[in-house]
Amino acid sequence: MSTAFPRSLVRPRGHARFVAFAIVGGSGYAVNLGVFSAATAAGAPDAVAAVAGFCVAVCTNFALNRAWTFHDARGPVARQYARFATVALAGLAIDLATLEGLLALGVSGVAAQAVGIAAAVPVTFAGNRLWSFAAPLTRPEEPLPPPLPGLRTLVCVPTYNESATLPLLVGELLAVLGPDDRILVVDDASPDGTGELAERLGPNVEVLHRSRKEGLGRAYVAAFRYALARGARYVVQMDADLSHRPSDVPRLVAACADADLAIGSRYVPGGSPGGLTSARRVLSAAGAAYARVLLGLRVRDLTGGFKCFRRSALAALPLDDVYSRGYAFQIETTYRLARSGFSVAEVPIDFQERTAGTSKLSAGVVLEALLRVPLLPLDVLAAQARATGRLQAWRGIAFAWLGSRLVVLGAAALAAGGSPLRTLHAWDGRWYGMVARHGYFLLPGYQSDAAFFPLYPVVLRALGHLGLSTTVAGPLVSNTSFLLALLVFYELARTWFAAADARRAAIYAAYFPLGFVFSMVYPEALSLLVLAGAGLAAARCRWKTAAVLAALGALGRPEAAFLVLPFAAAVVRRWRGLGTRARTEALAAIGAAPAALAGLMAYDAHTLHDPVAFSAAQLAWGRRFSATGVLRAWHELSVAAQRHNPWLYRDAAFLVVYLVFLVLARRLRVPWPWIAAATLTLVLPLESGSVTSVARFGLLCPPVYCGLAYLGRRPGVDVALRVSCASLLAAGAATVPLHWP
Amino acid sequence: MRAVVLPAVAATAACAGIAAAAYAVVATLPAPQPGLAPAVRLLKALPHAHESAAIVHLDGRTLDARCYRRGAVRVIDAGGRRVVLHRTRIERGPTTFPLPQAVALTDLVGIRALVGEEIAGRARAGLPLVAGRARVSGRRAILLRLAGSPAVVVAVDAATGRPLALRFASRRASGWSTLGAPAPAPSRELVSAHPGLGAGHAC
Repeated sequence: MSTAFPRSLVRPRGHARFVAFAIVGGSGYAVNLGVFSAATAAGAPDAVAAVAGFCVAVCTNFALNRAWTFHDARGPVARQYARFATVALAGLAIDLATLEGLLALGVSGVAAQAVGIAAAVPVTFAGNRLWSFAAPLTRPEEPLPPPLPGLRTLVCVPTYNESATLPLLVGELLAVLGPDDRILVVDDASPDGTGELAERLGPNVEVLHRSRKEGLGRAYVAAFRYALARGARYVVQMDADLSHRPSDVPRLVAACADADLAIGSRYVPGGSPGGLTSARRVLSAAGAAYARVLLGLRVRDLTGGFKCFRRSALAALPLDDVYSRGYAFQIETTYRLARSGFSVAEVPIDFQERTAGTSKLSAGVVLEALLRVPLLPLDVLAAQARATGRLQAWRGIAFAWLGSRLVVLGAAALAAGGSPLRTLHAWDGRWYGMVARHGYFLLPGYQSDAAFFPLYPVVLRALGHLGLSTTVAGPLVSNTSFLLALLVFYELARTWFAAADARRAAIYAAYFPLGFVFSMVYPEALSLLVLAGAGLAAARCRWKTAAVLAALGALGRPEAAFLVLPFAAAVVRRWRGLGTRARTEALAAIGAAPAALAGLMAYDAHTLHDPVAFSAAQLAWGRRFSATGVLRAWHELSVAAQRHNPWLYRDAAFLVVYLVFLVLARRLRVPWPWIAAATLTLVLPLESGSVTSVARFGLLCPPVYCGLAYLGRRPGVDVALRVSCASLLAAGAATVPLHWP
Repeated sequence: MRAVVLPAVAATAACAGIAAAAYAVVATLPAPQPGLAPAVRLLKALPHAHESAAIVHLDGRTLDARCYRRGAVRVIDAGGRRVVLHRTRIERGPTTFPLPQAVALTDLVGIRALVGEEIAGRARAGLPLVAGRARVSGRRAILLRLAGSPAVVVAVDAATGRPLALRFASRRASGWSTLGAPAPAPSRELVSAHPGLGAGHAC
């Protein structure tokens, strides 16, 4: 034992992997602490040192886990690292949430942290084992059979110790199948001789012998590759334990005449999970509901394993990207096909509990399904991005984001004498922090936090519950939101014009001179994300998502109310093609932003006794909406020099430039309603009697960046624009301590 | 017609749901503290409160204190001695009170801008405002805390929101005051020392 244990740790497998993972985790803790100590000793603020320590520890942990713990993993390093970092962040969130919860219950700090780590480590281990470093299920080295002309249906039956039921199943199947149909038994080297038994069951039964037990997913993938190579028109998958009735196979195949995938469903009218025990019934229904809600699918029986694929659908399934091994495999295949636009039909079946053999359901299989389901959309998104060439554009935009944020952080650090956080928290940042900590107040005649919209503080507060202080959470939310906002804006712009122009528009947005605000404790980045997201959802006719995002947008910044214009235009254009349900959702999307504003007004009326408290609070900053507001704004501008406020000229200049960009954006065929919404966003604040901050308001106008993209169509101009934008961005960030944005 | 009305009705119901959800999202923020309502009433009443004179009881002495203003300069005249302020900063030269008493007097005379700023400052910091309830000159009053150290409390008329009295307590000075009617015109001596002071300019 004493010699076997270290040897198994050299190239760990099974439980030894977990030990290796824990050792690497311990080393990461030491690295984190070391970097934190070194950074604080060098004068870095605690928050910056903590982030640096975390990032370095993630890198060293990744390298060690890849080289040692998961030494047999294959796949691109970048993809593995992205997944590893995601899992690490999820682990951190679990740790912090547990810590916070236990501290609230009065548990001591050390004990709470110990429990937090104990809760996070198994999840991160499972996440990395099943996702970051998961091996693909395909085995290119496995030989494929020759095509069988005329083969109509191939029924695939994976087996492991199913000798008691297999002959009965095959007999019943042969009775309902036609002469052009075959059965494929995929046996994982069953100790009870199931594989050998299958060889003797008749000429229409083919057997795929596999060297060892590798799970349901790998067996099915091998069967699918086999079926495609054989040339089957329909491929049926079913269990060998007689829980799926062979007499239902013809109905499933018949359903594939109208659908690409037919699922034998226990949860549609006419179907029944009758054979399941009560406990299995609850587990199965909960699993199906969990997957349905998280994946947004309307399929009732996502965990069912009785399916029929049309050949075209099966051929489109990216088997190299399928990683689920257990029952999550069923969910993954259905989800991938549904997301790729293939139609799914459900055929009612009576499910029977197995009468012989043992169930393969285990805690590991359940855990895999729990973890894999939330990650599936990310996998599918990445796969689609690779297939459509978006990944390259996303990468370019992400690099622009990184470069521009480094420019901002560098300039902010220089301006604040070494601490960028002080610059990032300047001005309105303290107000948003105030709202997050203490909620709203409205004091007549005095500057009150009711002027600041609630979405951003609500997010900061939620992160505060996870243990993140506003000092860290603010810049974190802003910068992360900005990266996502750029990607979503790129997708939105792609619905308007060519991909190359859209990519340029997103990169200009990253380097936009006033874009340092996107890194500050301001809601602009989050608002741009939800605004662009709402626009994209509407463009793709996902009205429910559009409604939710528009409502969130209105809670982030009042300008979101102008989404009514592009939404209304989109609905009018598509009205005739929409059904009653879609019309309802589309109309709700139009009204979502005003409705959310009404909700905010109701809250203000109830708690602050003024339904327009957000507007009343602006009085203390000299803003008051009136018919003569524009004249007052002009007067303010004309006496700016006398009042020693030359910054107003900056805002006025930006306003003019923005309006020019809107004209140029139209040349790129940005839709009129978006340009109208942007114009209102820029011009309406003048009615409050001030030009102040108009430059910042323009950041929430996506067409502005499109105007820049039009200008940068010529390579020379493009380079000049990037350089000048980056220079102005640095200069702008450096001036934050002098004046608000 | 049905193809329009039915979706419109359902969408209106959905929007009502969205409004309710938005309310619920905002309601995850902390509710305003209970002391905010009387503080708001005080701030609304302050511009109309002409108390620039007070009877101050400071360290065992009773002083008839009056406050006059000219621009950013305020002069508090109490029993012939004075405190001179530039905005909220005490000017040490012309001030003839010892500093602890000058600080106390500045608070106790009830300068409106000072009371307002202190209330707003505490609200912004999320500090509790209400210190209790009391009866002042037979009127029901709510006590609002203006500062924690030194402890400064203003008694606000529960019915009208007008400031009635102030209490000040530090380690080196303590006292209380009842806020009175507008101060009479400044004395000739005071005007000659600080030209431009006028009773019409409320503190």
